[in-house]
Amino acid sequence: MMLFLLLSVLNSQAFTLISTGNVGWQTSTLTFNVDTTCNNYLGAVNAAMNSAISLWTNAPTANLTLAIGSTVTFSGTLSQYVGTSATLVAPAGNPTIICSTTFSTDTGIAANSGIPGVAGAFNISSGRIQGGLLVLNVQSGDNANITTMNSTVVAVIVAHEMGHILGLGHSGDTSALMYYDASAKNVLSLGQDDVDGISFLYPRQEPRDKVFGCATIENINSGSGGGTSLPLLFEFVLLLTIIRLGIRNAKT
Amino acid sequence: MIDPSLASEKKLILGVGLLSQNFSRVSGGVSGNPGLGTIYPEVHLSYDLFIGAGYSLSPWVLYTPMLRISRDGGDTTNVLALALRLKKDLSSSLSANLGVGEFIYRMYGPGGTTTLNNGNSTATFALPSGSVASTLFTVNTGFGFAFSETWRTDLDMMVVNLFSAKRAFNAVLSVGYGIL
Repeated sequence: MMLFLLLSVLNSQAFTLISTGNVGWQTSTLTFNVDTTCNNYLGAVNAAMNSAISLWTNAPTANLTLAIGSTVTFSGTLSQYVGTSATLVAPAGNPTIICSTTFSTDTGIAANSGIPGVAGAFNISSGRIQGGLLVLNVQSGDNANITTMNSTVVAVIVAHEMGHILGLGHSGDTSALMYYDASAKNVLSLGQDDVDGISFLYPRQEPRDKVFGCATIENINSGSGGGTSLPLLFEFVLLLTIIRLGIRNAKT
Repeated sequence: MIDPSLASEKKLILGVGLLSQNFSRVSGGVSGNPGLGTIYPEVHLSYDLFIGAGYSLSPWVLYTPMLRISRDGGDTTNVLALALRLKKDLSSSLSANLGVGEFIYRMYGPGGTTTLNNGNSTATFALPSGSVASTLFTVNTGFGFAFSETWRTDLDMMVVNLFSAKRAFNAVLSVGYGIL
């Protein structure tokens, strides 16, 4: 039993990041705007976004608060920003979600490729992401048009693409949300690999981030991580003192 | 039959067992259904300082000596947990505890890149580089059963983010040996 558990532990895969040196967004409170192209699909898009936002926000060891923002009108030509080249640059600011009725043209992905959405984090400076786009496929007749999918599948897709915007790359772990193929998922959930990845980029450090998860987070994520808090030191000294007193009492 | 009156004589306990991080919270398979959490072998040390009326203060330190290492070496993680618990002897062999503590979850990465499937092609992604820790306060609770003067088993729970939807349970099932 122990050997089986150890082997299952050792067989886990690693999360990845979208680029070397990436340390996520500067802020740990991030708002996703919705483009007016999604107006005809707001019910489905908002439901999926709410589920995805809740999922990432509630990662236990991460310090991240996501929200849905206002409806905006995306400026520029979509194909200018989304494609297979990593050198493309999106506008700086809150990430935007776009619904594309001409998905194959906009993204350069052939029709009926089974790709329901693409996303990217752009404008990376000093490791910090400063812009993001999520393009959902609503192209009529396409086999990955999200309006033809059930709500859980759409939520999984949106959550996965949000993961990219937050700074995560794909995972080799099949149980992870960030695994490249989400077609087998029928429950929206994070794998430990996803939790590790988002915690690596946005580590939660109480009491800086409010004790016991009592409140939303307002602090800027330092991204450095690994700091030892004063309460931790106090607690450790207290433990050592009590152990020492106990041992002394036991001897006398 | 072991005389239960002999139980709990030893106050300094060294224990080994399994820690389940994010019990029933993270995906346990490809479908996304929750599983048993992420399992680590753990070792812990506790000391019972008797304060009267069947109560004792019990500081507790847990560590996962074997890093959880990903198959491709992309990242490793481990846990250090500290707690100060108030322990109550419910009988000569059974005890319960309640306390507060700290859960430190550290993630390490070697850096570099890896190539993974990207849908209809492959792409190169960056592996994490450096060390980052999440530090969370915990509410601890648990039960213990002493089989003899020196041997016992415990089921402990560390709850993080108790008052929010980020709440998660980290369970420890262990066997302990009284060394003092």
